[in-house]
Amino acid sequence: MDVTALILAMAVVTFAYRYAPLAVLERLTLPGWAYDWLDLVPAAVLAAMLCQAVAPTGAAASWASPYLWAALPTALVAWRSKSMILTMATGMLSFALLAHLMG
Amino acid sequence: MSTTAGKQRSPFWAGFVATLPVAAGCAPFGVAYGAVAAATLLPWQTSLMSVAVFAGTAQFIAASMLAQGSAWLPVLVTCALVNLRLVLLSAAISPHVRGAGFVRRALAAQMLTDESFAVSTAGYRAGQVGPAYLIGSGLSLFIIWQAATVVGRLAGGFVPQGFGLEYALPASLICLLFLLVRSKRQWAVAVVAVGLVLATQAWLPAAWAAPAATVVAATIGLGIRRWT
Repeated sequence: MDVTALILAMAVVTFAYRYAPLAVLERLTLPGWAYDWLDLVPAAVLAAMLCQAVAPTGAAASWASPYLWAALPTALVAWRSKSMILTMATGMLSFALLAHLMG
Repeated sequence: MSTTAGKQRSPFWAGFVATLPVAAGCAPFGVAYGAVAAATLLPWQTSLMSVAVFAGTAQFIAASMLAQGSAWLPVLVTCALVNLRLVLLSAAISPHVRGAGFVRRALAAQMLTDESFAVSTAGYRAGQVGPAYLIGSGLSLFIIWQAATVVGRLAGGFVPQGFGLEYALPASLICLLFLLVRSKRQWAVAVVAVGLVLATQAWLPAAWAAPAATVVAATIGLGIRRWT
């Protein structure tokens, strides 16, 4: 598949997600379990992707990973501030610092 | 009283202005996306994705997966799962778009992101009404997102090490986790998802591990009795 086609397919899927509930929910109600399931997806997908992004993997895996340890101050600031700008700044700064220290 | 002194901003501008600080916080993420996309996407394709998809996490994941040589299907499936939360956000915001015509409804839809949802929900709680507030909020993010994309794409390959730009994705995921995950049940599902990713990483291709863990963990979550 061509990259442009992939981008457009992603756009169609994403727009459908955004538009369908606005159009449909004036008339139709989803069953309760569907809302329940949708309610759990963000937690699952964000945690899974975060795990892949920061957990040391592969043969060269080491606990001395700046990706892993930078998550601690970042999570602390995200939890206390709920601010995107503070969290991004903390994450990038602590990663840069740890990457420097851990070589 | 006919005076316009102290007149409130229109809902559109109120949403636009209220979202500017949040949009500024997303800018590094947009730059990081543009820089990663530089490895596999042409400049216009990089911006096409920012305009047409307009969902940072999905865009960053897609660009990273393509850079690692992933096939298109895992990219599309991951995007579909990563963005599935938009269905819920859209359902939750739908009362405020009720009765709007197709164009305003479509605009409101395309401008719906985690950040515009968060700002708009707060605005509606404070007395704002109608889709214009959401559209203004989203447009604020949209403009900064496009600019950040172009900056990142232009700088791609020349991004200096030591600024921590590699951490834009993890940091934004962490922030979204704390913004969107509220109940103990959701946190339990998050822990299950992490466990599944770690348990399957030896034999499941990385591109499929997160989608699979998401579906399984959310389904397991249905069986967890609702804690309050």
